Amino acid sequence: MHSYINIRSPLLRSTILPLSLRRYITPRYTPTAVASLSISIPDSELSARGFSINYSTTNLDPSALNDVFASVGFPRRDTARLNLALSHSSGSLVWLSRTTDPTKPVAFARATGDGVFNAVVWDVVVDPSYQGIGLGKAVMERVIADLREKGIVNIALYAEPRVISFYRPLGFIPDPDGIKGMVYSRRNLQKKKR
Amino acid sequence: MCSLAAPRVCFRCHPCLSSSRFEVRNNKLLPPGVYLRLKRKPEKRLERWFLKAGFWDSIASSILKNNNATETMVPPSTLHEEEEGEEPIPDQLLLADRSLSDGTQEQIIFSLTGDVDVHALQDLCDKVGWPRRPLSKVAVSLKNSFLVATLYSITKSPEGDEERKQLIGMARATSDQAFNATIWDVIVDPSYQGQGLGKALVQKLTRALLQRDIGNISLFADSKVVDFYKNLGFEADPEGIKGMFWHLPF
Repeated sequence: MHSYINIRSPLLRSTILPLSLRRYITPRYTPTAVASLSISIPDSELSARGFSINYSTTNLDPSALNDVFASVGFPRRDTARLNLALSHSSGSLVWLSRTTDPTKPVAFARATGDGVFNAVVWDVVVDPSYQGIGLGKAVMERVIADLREKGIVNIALYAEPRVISFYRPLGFIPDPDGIKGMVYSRRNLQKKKR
Repeated sequence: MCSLAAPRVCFRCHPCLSSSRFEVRNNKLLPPGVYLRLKRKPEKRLERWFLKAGFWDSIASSILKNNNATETMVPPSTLHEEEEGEEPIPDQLLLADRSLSDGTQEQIIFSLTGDVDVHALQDLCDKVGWPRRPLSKVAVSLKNSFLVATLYSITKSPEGDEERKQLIGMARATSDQAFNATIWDVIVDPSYQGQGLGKALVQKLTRALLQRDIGNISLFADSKVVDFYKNLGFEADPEGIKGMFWHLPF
């Protein structure tokens, strides 16, 4: 009994629908985390707290971004390559800065993808001095909203174990349907050769 | 001769390195009409290779992205053992050239030129049972993909008068063209599965990405194909890092 319609709503999950009713279930799936559709801290409040929201790299200082990467334990990147990556983050790019210091990012996230079906979010960082006040959530929510506006619903990311609980309330689920995130490792290939 | 110290920068200028016996060099291998469709785009390739000099550090740092022990950029280690003297993946590669039982000649071509007919792709997706997507969106997704790898089968009848070119496999990768790439939509025609073509497709695409200095190559695998990718050098949940999806993919 194989149904091509995935019924995701918790209300319907346990019912077996007769064939005649199935064609009326129009959405392929219904969202399970309704909370993530809203923005927790609106633009006006961020602005009142002294933060500016940016959607392009125009004022972004790449060495300041590298500083933030370093402060959270990410490796620094070569500036030219970083600029290349930023110019090709065609999926989405959102960063916050202090209005008083507009070129320095205090929170950052970018997404790459094909512009219609899939996107992967990379480099989500918040300056340690500004962590814990909802800025990470603010950039993530805006990246997701931006992607969804473009019609992209397949949004993925790779999360270290300690931040999985940060992404869950935003609507992210690890290994859905057993789908595994995998990364190429030359070291693995060398091990196999032996 | 190319210096091993910077093989990737110099091979573009040295004709010696373009003599791979598996490369489709000779027009006579393919009928002229077909060859035109599979034409290389040399300008495009030159553009990509140009940016490579001196970026070993950033490759290493993007691979070791999750290493919290060090703040500074990590110098390259033994990461490049496999690539010394390795030839670049050309835009087209002849993977197989065989005679079938009825006398037809079949060639399997791997191509990176990326010009995919969306109708042929839709037919292929139908064969494996993937849901159909709007063709205009498919075209845009291919255009926005950093690399599109395809497998074609070219069959020639015994008389030599008819030839058929058929799309039998595809894989594509999106990327920020500097650090990360993600492979999507790996597909092989069911009647050509089980011959190592999917493996070759992914392997060549991975090599091509590495040769374009993309240090972090990732993908999301259905549970049934995790082992397929493990055998190609991919690791699931490296260091406990989990793939997460917003809501659920269908």
